[in-house]
Amino acid sequence: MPLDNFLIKREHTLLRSVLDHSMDAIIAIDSDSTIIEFNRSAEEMFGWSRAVAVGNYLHEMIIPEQHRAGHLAGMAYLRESGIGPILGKRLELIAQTSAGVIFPVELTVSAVDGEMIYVASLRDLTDRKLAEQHIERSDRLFRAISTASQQYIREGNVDETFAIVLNEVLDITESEYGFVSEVLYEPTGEPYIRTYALTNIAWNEEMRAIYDAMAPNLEFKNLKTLFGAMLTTGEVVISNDTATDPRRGGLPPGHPPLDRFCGLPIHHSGELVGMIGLSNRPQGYDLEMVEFLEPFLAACGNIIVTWRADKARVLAEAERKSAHDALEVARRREAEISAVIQNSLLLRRKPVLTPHGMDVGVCIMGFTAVTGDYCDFVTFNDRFDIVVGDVMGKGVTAAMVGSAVKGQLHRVVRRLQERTMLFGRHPEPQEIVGGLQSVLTPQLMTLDSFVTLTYAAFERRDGADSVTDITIVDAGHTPILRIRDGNRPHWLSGDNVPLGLADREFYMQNSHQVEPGDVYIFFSDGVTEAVNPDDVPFGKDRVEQVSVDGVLSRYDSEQIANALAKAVMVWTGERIDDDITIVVVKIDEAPSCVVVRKERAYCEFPVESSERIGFADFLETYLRDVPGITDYDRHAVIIGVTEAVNNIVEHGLLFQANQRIQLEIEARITDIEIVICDRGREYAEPPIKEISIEDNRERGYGWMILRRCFQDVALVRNPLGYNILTLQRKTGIVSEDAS
Amino acid sequence: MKLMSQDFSPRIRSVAIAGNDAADVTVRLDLSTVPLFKQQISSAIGEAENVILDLSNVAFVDSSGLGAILSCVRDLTASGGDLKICSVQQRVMVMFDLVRLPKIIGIHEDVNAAIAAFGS
Repeated sequence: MPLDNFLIKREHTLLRSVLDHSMDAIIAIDSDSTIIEFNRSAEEMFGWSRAVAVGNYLHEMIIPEQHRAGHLAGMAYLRESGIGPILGKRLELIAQTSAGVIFPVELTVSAVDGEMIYVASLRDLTDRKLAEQHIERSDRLFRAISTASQQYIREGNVDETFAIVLNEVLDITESEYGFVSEVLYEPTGEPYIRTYALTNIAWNEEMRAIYDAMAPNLEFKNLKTLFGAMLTTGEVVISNDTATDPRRGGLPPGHPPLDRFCGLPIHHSGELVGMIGLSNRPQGYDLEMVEFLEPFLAACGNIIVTWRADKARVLAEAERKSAHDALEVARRREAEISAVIQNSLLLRRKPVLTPHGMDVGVCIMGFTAVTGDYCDFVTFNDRFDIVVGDVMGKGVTAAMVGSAVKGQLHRVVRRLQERTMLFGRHPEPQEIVGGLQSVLTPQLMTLDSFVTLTYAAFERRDGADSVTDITIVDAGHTPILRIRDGNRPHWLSGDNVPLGLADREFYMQNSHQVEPGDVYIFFSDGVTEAVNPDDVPFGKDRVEQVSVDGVLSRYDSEQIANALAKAVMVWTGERIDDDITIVVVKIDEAPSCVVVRKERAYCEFPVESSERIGFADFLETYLRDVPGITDYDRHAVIIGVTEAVNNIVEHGLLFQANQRIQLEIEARITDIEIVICDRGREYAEPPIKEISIEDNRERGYGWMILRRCFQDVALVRNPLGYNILTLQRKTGIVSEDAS
Repeated sequence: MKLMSQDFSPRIRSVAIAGNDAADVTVRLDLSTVPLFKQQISSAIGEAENVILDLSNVAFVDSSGLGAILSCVRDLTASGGDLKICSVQQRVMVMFDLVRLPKIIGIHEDVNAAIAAFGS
């Protein structure tokens, strides 16, 4: 082969390889827009195969309808004049896939020398745009929080403040209507709401008159509504199909339709103080949005409580103008309240979304005036981070610093994420703490304050289906207690200095393997430093002892946190003068189906009335030799299954003769699972009815009993026409009557 | 199943649920026996205001049995009286505990404790 040919062939192979392996989509066209090259990335990006694309017009393949004319005009101009204004520039445009999906792309076009051939290289911007939107949304949220707080501080007008809040939150969530309200209580204890701000939805002249006269302070008291459901439970209410939601109360005639509704509770120090209602977000509401709005809700709670305190102070001033010391008391009270308020911003209730395979419990007790305890959570898709910290110093300054840490934390995470995302990873804990350090240290040094914190990331390694690692950055905070195998305590700590002491500290992180069943306890120094009447501190040993006891008693994470707080209370004789923050993380045991206490057993029984209790004998025999099971569990399983079977006989089999029910049971290390199968009519879970003397219906308690006997109840109808009822009881629970 | 009444004072009467054989402690108050219980209960209570339901022979109560007991309480309290339960077997007690029955009805160790509770 002549050398020239060889070189040409080699060059061709090389070019083909470059094209095929390019990360960017590469498309070449001739002067009338016919595609002459379409590489593998282009095939993936647009969904057309090379064979189909080559020979077709570019504008018919990837340019959305509305841009086709523009493209053709541009090409015509290029042909005639030889001038291509877009050549060599980096542009952001939209493109279209074979399925008609429109998405953003970054594009550069170059002309091949001496030929009327143009090569475009395109990059999909969907992910980057989404990330930008997310960051922008977060920034707006924090701006909204700060605007609302400043507005209130400046003007003291709660209606105007919440008008701003409402506008922002409608915008951010893309909701159509909404209201911001305070939760008040009737003398009888019934909750109701008074709105501070609501979207004007007056649908006729009469309503407009009412709105104008009353707004913004309307009161709503009907609890048999979606917002009533939120008021009575104190929990988030999401209804993405209000028409069929049993909680709905209906709307007055003429009211514009509300297809989707979300009621967000505003809590402050554990008390329900307000509510935000939103409706008609086009894509519906979800827990992720609720999680995202959490800091915003905390700020609203803050404003409501400050406003209540202000009202009380104004009243006190008016009533006791002459009595100087009474006013002094009111002032001191105000200072205390504002400190408590700050705490509410710093401390978070349990996160709304906890990752699979772990259980998170939080116990926070606030006392008297002021410390700067804070705790917060950051959720990534395969990582869950916990931050527990304490601001040194007391008073409003400490509280304000805490507030700043919290606000900055989320900013730092978002900013870092923007950068690390390009490398396909999340920011490392040490990067986050380092970022916090660099933004906070100058401020902290001026204020002569410092911040201790523990930052811990629970992470799932590739392929694992539960948490595998914990990575910790300790900045001078109390260490983390880990309990392994139920009773082996171990303290995890590092040796970094607190934030605000040194401005060039490099934060080191260390990682530890997480094992199934591990329990991690994070707490503030209010726990270890609480003293009894003889001035003896509670200390680490007692933390260890109480926690191990809690783990051995198979408490869940929240119960362990509460038990520890309770022990501190008892130790001090209920005289605690520091805040207590405890966060407990419990990693699930190894998948329980692997560890079997007793093999599966199976029985099938006819439902003729006299023989129906046959299954009870079967269960009795099986449960008798399950190792380590309590009498209470045994009884509860039999009681619950009896109700389940009665329910099937009545609602599934309609009391017909010659029917059979199958039952399977398996005792595993942490639970007992029973699967009951029948071929009857499809039936649904009835509403739960609590016992009461006033109610004169005698039936209908069955499903409530069933639910009390089993923590997990799942009913499905399979395609073969079987009803399959799966019941799971966590074993080792003696009595659920904790309330 | 049969019901056996005994008066302890002009005000207090106990009603025991028994099997056909007096020594049978495996009586069930469930879907299959509740109709019988309801037939007999009003005559067993008679004019008494304060009633002690003795469950010493009852091994199992299901949701319909619970409903029947609640119905008795309702009738008695409506006419100014009260119902207390005594001598509950373990499995029945677990069921009462699960539904939080002790918050509504007094449950006592034995007949004497129940009588004492009425006295106070």
